[in-house]
Amino acid sequence: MELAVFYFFAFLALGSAVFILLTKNLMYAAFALFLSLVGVAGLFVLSGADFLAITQLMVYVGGILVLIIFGIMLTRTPDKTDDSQSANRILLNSRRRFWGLTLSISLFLVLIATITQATFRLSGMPIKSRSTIKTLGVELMTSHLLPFEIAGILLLVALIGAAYLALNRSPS
Amino acid sequence: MYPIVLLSVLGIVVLYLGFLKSKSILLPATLLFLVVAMIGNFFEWNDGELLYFKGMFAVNKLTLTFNAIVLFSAFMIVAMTQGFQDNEEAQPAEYFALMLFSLVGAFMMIGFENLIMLFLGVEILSVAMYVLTGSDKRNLRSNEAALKYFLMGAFATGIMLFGIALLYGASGSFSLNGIESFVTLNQRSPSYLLYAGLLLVLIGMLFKVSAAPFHFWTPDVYDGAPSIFTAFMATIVKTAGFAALFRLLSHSFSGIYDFWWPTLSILTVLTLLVGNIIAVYQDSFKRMLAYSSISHAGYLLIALTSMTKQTENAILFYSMAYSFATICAFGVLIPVAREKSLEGRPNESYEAFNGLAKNNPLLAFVLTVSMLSLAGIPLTAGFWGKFFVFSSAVERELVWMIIVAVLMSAVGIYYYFRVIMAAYMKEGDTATIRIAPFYKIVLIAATLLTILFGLAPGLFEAAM
Amino acid sequence: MIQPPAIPEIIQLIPLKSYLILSTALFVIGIIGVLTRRNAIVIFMSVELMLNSVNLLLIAFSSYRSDPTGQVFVFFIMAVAAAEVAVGLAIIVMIYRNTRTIDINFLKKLKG
Repeated sequence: MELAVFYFFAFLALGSAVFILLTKNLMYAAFALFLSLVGVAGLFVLSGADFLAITQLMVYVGGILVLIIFGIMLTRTPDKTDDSQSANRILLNSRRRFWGLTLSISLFLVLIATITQATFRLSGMPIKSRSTIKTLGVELMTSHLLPFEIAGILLLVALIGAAYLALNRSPS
Repeated sequence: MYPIVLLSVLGIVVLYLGFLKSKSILLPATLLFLVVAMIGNFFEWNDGELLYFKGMFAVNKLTLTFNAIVLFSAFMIVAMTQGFQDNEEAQPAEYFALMLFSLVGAFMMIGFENLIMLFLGVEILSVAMYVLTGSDKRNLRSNEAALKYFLMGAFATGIMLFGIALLYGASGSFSLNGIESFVTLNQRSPSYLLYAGLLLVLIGMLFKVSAAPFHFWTPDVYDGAPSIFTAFMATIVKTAGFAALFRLLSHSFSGIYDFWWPTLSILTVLTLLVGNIIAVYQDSFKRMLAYSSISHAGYLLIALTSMTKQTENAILFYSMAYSFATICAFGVLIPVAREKSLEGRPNESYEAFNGLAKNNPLLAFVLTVSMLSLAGIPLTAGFWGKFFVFSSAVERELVWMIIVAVLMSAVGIYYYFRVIMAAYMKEGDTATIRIAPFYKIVLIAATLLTILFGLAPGLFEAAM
Repeated sequence: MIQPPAIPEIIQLIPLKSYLILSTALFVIGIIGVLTRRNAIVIFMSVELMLNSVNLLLIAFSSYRSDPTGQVFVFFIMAVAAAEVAVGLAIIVMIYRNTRTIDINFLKKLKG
């Protein structure tokens, strides 16, 4: 049963990821990203990270994905004749399809070979609590207090930066 | 620890100062804050090795010296924004605050004791740089540079994170000490997972310091960004990046030196070749400086690859000499390019420097000293930087690497001298360029320091 | 290899290596997306896929080791991803504002 659920979510995550690679339509790609993120969130639950699964849904789906969809819609040309691929003219020049694929697939094979021969030390500490929220909270507020504060600065930088770039003070 | 707290708070203060009607207070205030942070930096000088926040962050003389170099470079760069903020659209409060915050990221990279801190430091520095690269909002080249930098930077972050995850999987810890003890325990039976993780983390970091073959974003981004922020990228990001690489490799992975040095040495040679040879073919001085920064990443990589007792000193001295010279070069480029602007765009080609020496002897002199230092000519700090780097390689007997490096330094002399020739030999008329007095003082100070450390490199070690 | 008391019951049934292979596959799909697609937004989505694969990998390791630091790291990655997406979309919108009227193929602007 658990295996079946695992394969279902794994298939959801991988299948949607492949769909993002292949589709020409940006909106479809965004929805496929949504499915992929949900699949990954399901896998989080399966591996016992309940709090992060919810955070994943809230941050990625509720925040990041919505922003991406806004981005797609904001950069759409008013021109109705364009399909959604050409609507977005922000393109990079890329003539490296062959090399990109070769490189990525060889990287994949190397990593898979590394992983399949690896042996893992697993700790013997039993997990007592049913939920990870308490452990995570204690960790964040004790041993990871400094990164927590620094992450605040990072978010402030992103906030100022995004507002600075997107602001249009003198319309021309 | 003090400079991190100080800069985080003072960055917010700068933002509030931005509400004031008069923008003229911002520059002196930011400079003052940098001086305050510099003083705070040395409060911990005599405290030896300190660990903060349950082993998240380390302070020792090495990190403090790196901090000082970064702060001093930032001070000079901020001072050179004088006159840059004249145009009415600029919002200096935002980018001064971003610069101060990005220094916090740089300090994190210099003193991290846990990979979480490394990751957050890299991100703060990068996110701030993406924004500053695109800060010339109406200029398409700047916009495109920001997009390219952003996409490639995010990609590199993804690769680095996967590496960190593999390191965690292999060793079960994010802390440098935890990984180090895993490495020393398992020296006999290598864990390929650890190797793969280390390689991916290295690739991610080498992206950030623009070493070949991960340099392809550098020329476009350096060229497209406003010059003042290019100077910031070329000096502070590079210094912090190499400090982080040194910390990672010398601390956690010294046990598997035999694994990583061959990889790193190939990349080093590649970086030296790519940086120096392509730099010869550039017509734009700014683009040449971008390739020159790639080639200097190569020299710094030599020091990393050899990883002897001298490496620490070599990296420190080299990044200091390189930072000062680069800042001087940009400090001359900015007013000259503005004076010679074509169609409203700063002219950053070599021709802009033709006949500079006739009416602007000071600028030409500063330019000459900085080029000599970058080329590694004796009596400048750059010479001793190269000397220390090469001598650490000699200690490891990496002879073939030194041969490549010396040949490439000779190539470097060609393109660095091209601009000196343009300034002194070529015909051309440049009117006397008016430079703000403080700008002038900074240029002279950096030049004098370059010469001083060139005459007496021992001063630096004595200060350590 | 797997010690029964160490791991939450649910995931004992799924070998750790399945998680690793899955996240590696996701990661490589992300890399392929970055290297082969031309649209900036699709490249950006591919980067998000890469970050997600890292999250999955960290959580799998963290659960199988019953060590919470891995999950704490995931928390920070999420915060950073949110910060990055805000800046990235600001850049894209800024570019769009400039190119909408000028209409040039932008890739030709900078060589290399």
